[in-house]
Amino acid sequence: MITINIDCEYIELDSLLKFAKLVNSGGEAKHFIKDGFVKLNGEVETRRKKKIYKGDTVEFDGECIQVV
Amino acid sequence: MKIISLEIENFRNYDYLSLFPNENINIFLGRNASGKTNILEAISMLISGKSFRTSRDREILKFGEESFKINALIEINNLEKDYSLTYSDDKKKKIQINLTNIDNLKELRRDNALIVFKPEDLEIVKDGPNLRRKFFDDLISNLDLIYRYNLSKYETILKQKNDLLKSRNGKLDTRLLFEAYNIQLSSLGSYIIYMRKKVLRRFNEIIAEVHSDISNGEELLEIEYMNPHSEIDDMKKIEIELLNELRDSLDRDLMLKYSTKGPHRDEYMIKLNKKELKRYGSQGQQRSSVLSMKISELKIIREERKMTPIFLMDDVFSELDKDRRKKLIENIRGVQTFITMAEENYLEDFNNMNKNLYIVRENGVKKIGGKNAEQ
Repeated sequence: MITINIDCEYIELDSLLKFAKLVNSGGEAKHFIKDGFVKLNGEVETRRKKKIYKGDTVEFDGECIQVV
Repeated sequence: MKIISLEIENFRNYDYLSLFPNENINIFLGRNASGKTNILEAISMLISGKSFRTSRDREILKFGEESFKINALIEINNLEKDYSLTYSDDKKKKIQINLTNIDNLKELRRDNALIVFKPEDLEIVKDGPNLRRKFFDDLISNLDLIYRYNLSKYETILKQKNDLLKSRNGKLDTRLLFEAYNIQLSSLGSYIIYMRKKVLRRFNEIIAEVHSDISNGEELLEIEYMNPHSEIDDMKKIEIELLNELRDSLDRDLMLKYSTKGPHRDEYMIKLNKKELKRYGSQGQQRSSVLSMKISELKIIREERKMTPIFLMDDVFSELDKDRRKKLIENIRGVQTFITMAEENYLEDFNNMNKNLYIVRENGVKKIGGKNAEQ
């Protein structure tokens, strides 16, 4: 479980994966998200610019990210 | 130029901050020490390569983190470019534009310009010549790419000369070394003197108009460049005169252990209605004059570079009275500006203007007004 702190209202899904260091680049993030490898609050999310708010949970590559 | 989006990571008190600034005015409202100035600092580092506060890069890194990052999508001349600055403890600072490494700040400055207005600037008139030299050096660096480089080299060689002077060694072979330093110093120094004079000439034309507007036609503001060679028009001639001056002063320099001559000793005399402002001006007049200097700085960059710089105003509104606030705001039309303030009452100066308003608190930054405002 990774806890990510954000200082603004939301973080875009691709930016979150990059910031959490689960991907190496925006390009990688785009592909993983588009191909259905990422879940938001339990459901697959394929939009890379989806806004993730404090309290949301994102899963990818066996990792669980809690945004606070 | 305009910042379209900005991302700040592990920078001072921020873990992750993402903003989509307004194309014109962006106001960050928050108590002292809430972190609002840090946002402006991040912008200044990305655009000019250095912080406008005197801090070491290492101190800026959020405690416990290994690296900080500032990313922005910036529009310049109708092209959007990806700017990225990364600082790691072990690898130092790296700046990239569109994924290409920028190796020196000169490249960075080629397309960008930044103006900062902070409360300490109000000391420009009252304080020692240092601040006045810095104001004009920053301005000229925004106008001429080679200037900063030459100034830097000049300072490096000056330091070497001063170190040697401190050793108080007047022997012949040391004197030969001084001659070598002086030759380099006069070459670089003549460029510095020439540019200071050239830019000031145009700056004076602009500031006369600007200040006349601010003072409702009552005051004439002009700045005089105090350097013994400022009357010489030819750079080569300046170089020869300066070299002679440095040679002649060597004995005295050895005695005082310091380089007494050269553009590092330059002074600018700010005159209001023909009288020295520092000595004869009221505090109100001094503040108005600094305001005119800042507005003129903006004007000259727009005019000479044919581009609009980004303007950072850190907590200056509380230092200005209503009329001066109004004049300042009038002059930032079309300029993307980032403003910090601690009190709400100055917000009414911005009524009916295109702006984004952000509240900065301990738990983060919240946008409460502006384009695409979340409800």
